[in-house]
Amino acid sequence: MAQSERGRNDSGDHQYEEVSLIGKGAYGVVYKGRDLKNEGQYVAMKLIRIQNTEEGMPMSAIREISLLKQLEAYEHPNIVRLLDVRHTPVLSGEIQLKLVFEFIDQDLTTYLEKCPPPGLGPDRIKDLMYQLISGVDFLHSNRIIHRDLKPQNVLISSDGQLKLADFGLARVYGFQMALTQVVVTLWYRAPEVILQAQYATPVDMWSCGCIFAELFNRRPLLCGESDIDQLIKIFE
Amino acid sequence: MAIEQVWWQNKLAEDIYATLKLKEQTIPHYNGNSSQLWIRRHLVDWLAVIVTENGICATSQHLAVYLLDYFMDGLEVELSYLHLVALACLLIAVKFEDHCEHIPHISKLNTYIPKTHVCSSRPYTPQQFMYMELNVLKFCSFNLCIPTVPHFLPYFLKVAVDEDDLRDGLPITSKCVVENYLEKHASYFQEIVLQDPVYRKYVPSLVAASCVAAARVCLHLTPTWPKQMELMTDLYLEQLLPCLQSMLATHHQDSVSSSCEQQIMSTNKVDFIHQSTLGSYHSLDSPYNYFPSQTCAPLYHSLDFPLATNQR
Repeated sequence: MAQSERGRNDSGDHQYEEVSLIGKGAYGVVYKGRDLKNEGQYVAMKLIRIQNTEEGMPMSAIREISLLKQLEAYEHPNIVRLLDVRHTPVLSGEIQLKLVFEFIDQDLTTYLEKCPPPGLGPDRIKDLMYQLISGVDFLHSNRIIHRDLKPQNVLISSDGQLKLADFGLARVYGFQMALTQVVVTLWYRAPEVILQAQYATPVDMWSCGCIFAELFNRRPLLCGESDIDQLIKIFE
Repeated sequence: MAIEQVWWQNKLAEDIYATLKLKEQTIPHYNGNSSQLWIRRHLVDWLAVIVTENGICATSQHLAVYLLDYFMDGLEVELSYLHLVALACLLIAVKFEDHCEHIPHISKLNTYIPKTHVCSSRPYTPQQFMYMELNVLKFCSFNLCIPTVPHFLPYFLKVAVDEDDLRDGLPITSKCVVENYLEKHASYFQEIVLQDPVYRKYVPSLVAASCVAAARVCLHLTPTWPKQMELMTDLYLEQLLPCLQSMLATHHQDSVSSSCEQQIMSTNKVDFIHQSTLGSYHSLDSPYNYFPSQTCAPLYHSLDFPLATNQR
């Protein structure tokens, strides 16, 4: 049965066309592309190559896909849409997973860089923060912690809508879950994570706070160079 | 701990409970008419051994069995691939629900394949694992956010014992001690509901509530279903009865047949169950020789374990 699956799923290979490289992440490459079956509308494609390792399918891909899939039904305005998941066999029995997302023009970092002085007005900041918190609140009540909130993972569409993206570190949590795995990019990391203590949903709120400050300053609030330096900056 | 208690009382716990309750209504119907049901109990017990030895959490275990049940319900799997399917379900479940350090390595999983298994001389390759994982994921459309019994049980256990409870008609002396016993009994029932697919016909929150009620019955606590449980679960005792009765029947058989009733009723109940499962595995190399003995649910007694017909 495993064998017969292999040749079958190439139906989608010709639906999406790569246009340009957007970026390279820890476990994949992201392209801007076109959906040829949908009037060539732009999409973002995350390609993940799955090697034959001791781990099997990568945990981050399993989590990202299944979490976004279960949220899809709600069509929450502040969560990025996962449109399609494809997989194709590549050389030497490896598999390439293709995650097709809606295409959003820019992330919050670019948005802030492009913003002319004196920066964002209070109303705009209020609106962005409201959208950010709505998205996070929605995740938390669906028992999901994002665990990697930072401006690079917050997308801003051309009409000013904010969307949370990159669920590679996200996970579900239960009523009694003691999480200790070190997560979140250093500058947005809550002290309990740095100290490797137990943490829960508040770590996302910490990151939101850091982003809030960044909306005003147009530069990151706490740029530690190491764990200890980050802690020192937090307590300063 | 202080943090946890605060977070327990906050609104998020209620939100999560509401989300889980809503979500469990969308669990697809389970037919339970796979022609391979005869081997299900073996696979589930086998997974339980792997779960125990690798410190995998109950939510992963229950999700794995859920995936296995629905996969087998929808597809007939070649016998030589069934163990691979079960392992792939476990791998996916652990990756989704558990801490990342609990993810077992493929080579480790291969060591659990029974010696007499068709593939024992040639372990499953990482590639086979990968494709089987993909098969299972595609089969369930990557839908892994499935509420299971252990998602609800800890929430219910928080209010499962009250100061005013009576034990054998007398006031309880220590709430904390009773809570401890109750938790152990409830997790024992949480474990046995995996053994029989009959529990698939109830939603997980109802099964979890029944685990609490069954534990209270075993500990002679009255009332069996106190008001605070009714309020927390939105379930009445009448609604629990069919599920509760099956559980108590299974438990009764368990304790009669084991002839170690005292041991079962002791605090080490769960450990005992695991040891007995392990014991039967170490003594019997072949899964096909493994008759799910006396500890099983009534269903299996009537099945007569159709060994010969399925090994054709």
